[in-house]
Amino acid sequence: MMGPFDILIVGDEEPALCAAACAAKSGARIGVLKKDDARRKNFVASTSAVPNFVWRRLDLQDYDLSLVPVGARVTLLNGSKAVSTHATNRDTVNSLVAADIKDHLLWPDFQNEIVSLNDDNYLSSLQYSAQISSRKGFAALLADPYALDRAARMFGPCIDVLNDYFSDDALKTHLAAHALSPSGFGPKERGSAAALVHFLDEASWRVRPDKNTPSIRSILEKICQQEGVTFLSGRVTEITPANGKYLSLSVGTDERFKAKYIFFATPDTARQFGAHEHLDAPINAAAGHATFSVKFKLAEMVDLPLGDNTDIFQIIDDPSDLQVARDKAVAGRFPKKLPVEFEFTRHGEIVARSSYLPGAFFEDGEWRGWTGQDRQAAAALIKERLTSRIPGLSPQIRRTETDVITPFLGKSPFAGNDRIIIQSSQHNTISAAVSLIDEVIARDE
Amino acid sequence: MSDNADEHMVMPDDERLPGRIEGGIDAIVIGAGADGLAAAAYLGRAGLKTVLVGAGKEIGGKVAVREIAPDVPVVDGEHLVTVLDPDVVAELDLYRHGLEYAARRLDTTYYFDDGEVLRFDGDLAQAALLSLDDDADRERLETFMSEMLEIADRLRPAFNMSVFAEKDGDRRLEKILASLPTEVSERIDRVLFGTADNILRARLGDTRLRALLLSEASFRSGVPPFEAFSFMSLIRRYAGEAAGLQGAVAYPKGGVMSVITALRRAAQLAKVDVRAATPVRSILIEGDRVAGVTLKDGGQLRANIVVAAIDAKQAYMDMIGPKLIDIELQRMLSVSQSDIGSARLHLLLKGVAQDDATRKNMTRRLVFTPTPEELSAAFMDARAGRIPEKLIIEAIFPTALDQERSLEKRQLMSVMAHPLPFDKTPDEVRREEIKKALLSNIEIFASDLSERIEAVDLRLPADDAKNTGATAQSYASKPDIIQQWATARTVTSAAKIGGFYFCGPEAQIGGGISCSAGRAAAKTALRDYKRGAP
Amino acid sequence: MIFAAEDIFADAPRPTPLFSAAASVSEANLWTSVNGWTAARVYTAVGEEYEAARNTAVIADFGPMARYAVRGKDAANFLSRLTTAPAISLHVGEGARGLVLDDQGHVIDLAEVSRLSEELFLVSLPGPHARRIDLAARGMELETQDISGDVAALGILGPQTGSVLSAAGLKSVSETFAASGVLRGVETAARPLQFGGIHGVELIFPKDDALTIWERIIRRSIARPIGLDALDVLRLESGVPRAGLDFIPSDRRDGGAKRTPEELGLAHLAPLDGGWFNGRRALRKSAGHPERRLVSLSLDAEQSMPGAAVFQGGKNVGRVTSCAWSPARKRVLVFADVSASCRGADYEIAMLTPEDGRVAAKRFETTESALEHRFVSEQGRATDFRR
Repeated sequence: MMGPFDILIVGDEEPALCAAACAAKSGARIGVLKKDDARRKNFVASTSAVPNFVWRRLDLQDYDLSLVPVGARVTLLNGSKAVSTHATNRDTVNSLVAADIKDHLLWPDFQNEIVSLNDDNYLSSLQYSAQISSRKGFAALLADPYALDRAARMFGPCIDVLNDYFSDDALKTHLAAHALSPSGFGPKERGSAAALVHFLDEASWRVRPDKNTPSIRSILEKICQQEGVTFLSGRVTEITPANGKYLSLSVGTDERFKAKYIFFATPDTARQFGAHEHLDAPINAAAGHATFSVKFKLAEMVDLPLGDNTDIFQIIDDPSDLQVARDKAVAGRFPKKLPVEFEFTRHGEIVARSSYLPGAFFEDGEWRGWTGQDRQAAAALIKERLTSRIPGLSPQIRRTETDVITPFLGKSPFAGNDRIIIQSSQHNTISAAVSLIDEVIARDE
Repeated sequence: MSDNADEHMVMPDDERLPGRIEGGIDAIVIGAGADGLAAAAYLGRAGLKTVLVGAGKEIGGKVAVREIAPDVPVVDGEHLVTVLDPDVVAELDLYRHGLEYAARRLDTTYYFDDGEVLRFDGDLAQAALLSLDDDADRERLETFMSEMLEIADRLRPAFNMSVFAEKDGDRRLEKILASLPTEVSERIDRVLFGTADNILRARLGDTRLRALLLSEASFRSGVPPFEAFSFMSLIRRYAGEAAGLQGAVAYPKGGVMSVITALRRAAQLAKVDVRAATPVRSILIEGDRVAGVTLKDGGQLRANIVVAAIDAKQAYMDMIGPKLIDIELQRMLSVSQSDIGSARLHLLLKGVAQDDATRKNMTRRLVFTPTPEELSAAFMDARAGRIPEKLIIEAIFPTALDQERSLEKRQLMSVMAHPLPFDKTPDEVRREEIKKALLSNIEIFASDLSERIEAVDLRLPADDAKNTGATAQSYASKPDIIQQWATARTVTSAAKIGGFYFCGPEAQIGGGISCSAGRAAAKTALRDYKRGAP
Repeated sequence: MIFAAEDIFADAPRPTPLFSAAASVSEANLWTSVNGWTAARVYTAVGEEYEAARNTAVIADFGPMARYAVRGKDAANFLSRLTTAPAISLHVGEGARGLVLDDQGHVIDLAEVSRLSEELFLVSLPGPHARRIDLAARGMELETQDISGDVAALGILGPQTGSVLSAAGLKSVSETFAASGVLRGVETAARPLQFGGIHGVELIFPKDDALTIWERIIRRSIARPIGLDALDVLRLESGVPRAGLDFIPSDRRDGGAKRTPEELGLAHLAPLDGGWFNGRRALRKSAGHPERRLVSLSLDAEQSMPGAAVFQGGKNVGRVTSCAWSPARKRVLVFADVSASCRGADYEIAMLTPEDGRVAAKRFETTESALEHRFVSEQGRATDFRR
């Protein structure tokens, strides 16, 4: 018999391990349910930054960890047009000036103001779970026109926020593409502006481990073990309310244990387990989207039209492509002009992914899941998009691996449970996951 | 009209147009729609000398009577009463002023494109009486309905916003909402953010039930049912009241125009000077207070209270102007332009109902319900500027609902369809496409339609706007609930101009004729007036 | 004309157009960053620079300030909305100071507006406000251009400004009227300037010609360069608060407490009975009810530091927001943010170490506070919105 746990964290990606380590360090009893997807770890090139407060809590200086920020966020538009933004305002402004984007003067104000939209936190916490939102929050929100305005912008369509600020289509497309890429949202969708807010947070600037140092995952696993985090594996088959504040979970065939809360450190994990239900707002539960990844092993490094192999790239043709692709994905069809994100692993492979693929396909009035053929088609689509920007790519490809994360279909044991907390940001995931688990622990006390 | 010699001076105004200055007025209400009439009636009843000026030729705003064929009048704007503020009905005594319902608590028949039909009782609390076979489904629906009706009821103060007309309205609302039972406020937390799609999927097993409630939640809303906050549109609807019953739908005798007529009578009885075809050019501001309005004809009306019952862009940007409003207010007014709208269609049909069942159905509210996938596609199409293949059709037969309006051997069908792309200036080609799409959707549940049509009349938001002089955009579908709340609070409070009050469409949460914004504006004005605000 | 606070954690600053000239005469080589531009803190010695400003003349690189050219039919209306300066009633050549307020009447920044021609204005602000200017211009007929990086701005200050101008061959520059035009083949704008009670002019040139002019002034006149530190002494003496130190601009994230003009002792820059400006209606509501008060105190001590606690009648009533040693007064001058309920001129300020205890501090009248007092007493007669 394991547990009982204060919090069971589902999934063992970096933000989950960070949250586990921090929570365990502050005395909580933590279990981590490993995901059965060793292969998927292969497709990760960069992670969200480890903010200073987490670094200090875990004393990461004591480990041989060296994280290098990614170079720039680059968007390769149609033709030879490209836009890039950088870690510092100064570099961003310079690159916008170089690209002849006259909105560059607005950039520092934009960054400052948009990030501050998150300062109102009733709706943000509601996004995570009704459990941890404060009773007074809703009333206070309605009573304050300024808080309402911030909330309306933060949870409105991303495109409204961008249009309100900028006039340059290339810049708007660049920001929307990067901000929405992990979630697969359309810029006209309500809730998509939240992705933009999270994206502009400092802690969203992604990092990669230095070439010869251990991965951040292996270090976090080590810390978790030191702090007494219990690792579990298997499939959760049933969740029932137990006595008092506990939930009773069945894992596999006959293992049972108790936990007060179930915690998802990323919305992707929650979607995979079917836990999102009403919490993860802008998604059609039936159709949703799939995140499809391809890894190309290259014979030789390729020439890029802009930037270098430390950057993160988006490929997109037209400002309206994101919404068109999203609509197609939700309707269960392949988009034609697929928006694609790609970057290089520290071993020089290209990892390309897109979240604008259907979670399931709608054919003849019926929904059906992914098949091998669909995977081939998606991989071909992504390769075609990459070659459109990197002409010399094809001859260099030595090996291709694919992976698809589809939303949970059917009845999930996690769905509809009050004590499920889902971290909803796709960008500053480590920072947000640790802050959220702290909040859960604080509320519980 | 106060026309005495003392006030009859000629003076050049800003634009150096000669015009008459008219004084001795306490309050001016701009806009002759339902909210303007209600606000004027409240002000007049309190003893203020009130002048109401409307830009259109007729009183009523977008609710207007028009003939689509000889002796076949139709009512533009709204065709049903769903959210009329009961306080307004009682306080302005609208029943005494001629408001009478031809049909209360209309049952709704939902049609599905597979030929299935479901019926909902007009009293939503009785929803289980509908024709559902499965007991478990019925039970789930019953629980769901009672929970939602309770949430809706509890949230009323947040929807009609009249609490802000009271002193310390912010804090009062905060208190009301903070004191809700834990159970209720937890439920609110759970549905506030939710998408209609997810919530209904989680709560109801039956696909048709889900489809029909999805349609109800998305009807007239600018928010697709799979997006955040979309479920709240349904709660907003259920918080409304018609003919004394929560969440119900009613048809007044003479159509919705009779609400306007009753409001107009109430206003006239309160000695309000109602002037149609009197467009306002600008709102006069002296110091930080209103001083009156200038009219398009060059005249000037002076008063210490101005209530704007017109859209926010007209009031703030055109009549006050960016040179006199705060930068922040201007920004808040400019965000979120809905690209979705609804359309009205009137059909004059030959023949009469042959059987009882049809006759009975014609006294109901009929809703054609697309499948969830079709509805999603419809919103995506509309948002991208395309006309959806399948959409939600709400239809009633005024000639069957109201005996006095029955036509010989003909029937009038009044339709509201949603979602459609919102066009500021739709051309003829577009109109034909929309008409065709609507007719083909209606034919799904009325198969012999085409050979019975004697007249078809399509009415788009842009047409209503042209008629009333409003900004077309203000007749597009409403954005999500948070944006609506933000906008409503902004337009009603952020200008801070002394003596200026706003009750245009942006001040109302949700669609339909409510008058609660007009009531709130008038009450606020009266409170300030009595306090002797400078 | 006041600089914004230094950006301590900024990236390496960009050189202002005058940087190379300024660097060549800097002996101290002490630089800092203001709005992302290089700014000299000291050229030779603070005391010398200060004395020169008071007795002869100094030149300063005003490159780090934000500057916008506003052109068009609605330019005056736009500036009257964006700032509290009465742009509409300015004649060509005139200038006015004002504040930038948000819609709740909180101070975002200070501003100076000069009318160069009927439809051309120059506005200088301590910090850039691209977004706000963009928003304020919506719905109006005008063009705004951020010229901060494109032009060099140099200030000549001190009693002998006139002789510096003639020595540099700039006789036609007026010390009383702003003008734009071509001087010796170079496109320029010139406007009278006041920095901490010291008068002078500000010259604005296209970037490329800046160095020549600076060189000419340095070579041919008595003017010596003055850095931020000496300017800050002048500022404290005259009682002008500095954005980022004495108050936090209300639109800044995590800005903390917001301040009204009245709370900063700048009520005279936002008169409620003149033309309309952004935030005025909110200001009218809050007028007469300040919660805090920014006061100028002089301290019988050799040093103090921002953050030091301020006491009155034994109670902690606030804190020091900025301070500097004044060679003229032989005292430390501080700005202190104190509770509005404080009365009288006597305060105490905690010293750096607890052993040193507290030192007496006295409120003193500055150029700015004198203006406010006069304004308040006149306003008090006209309207009754103030204490």
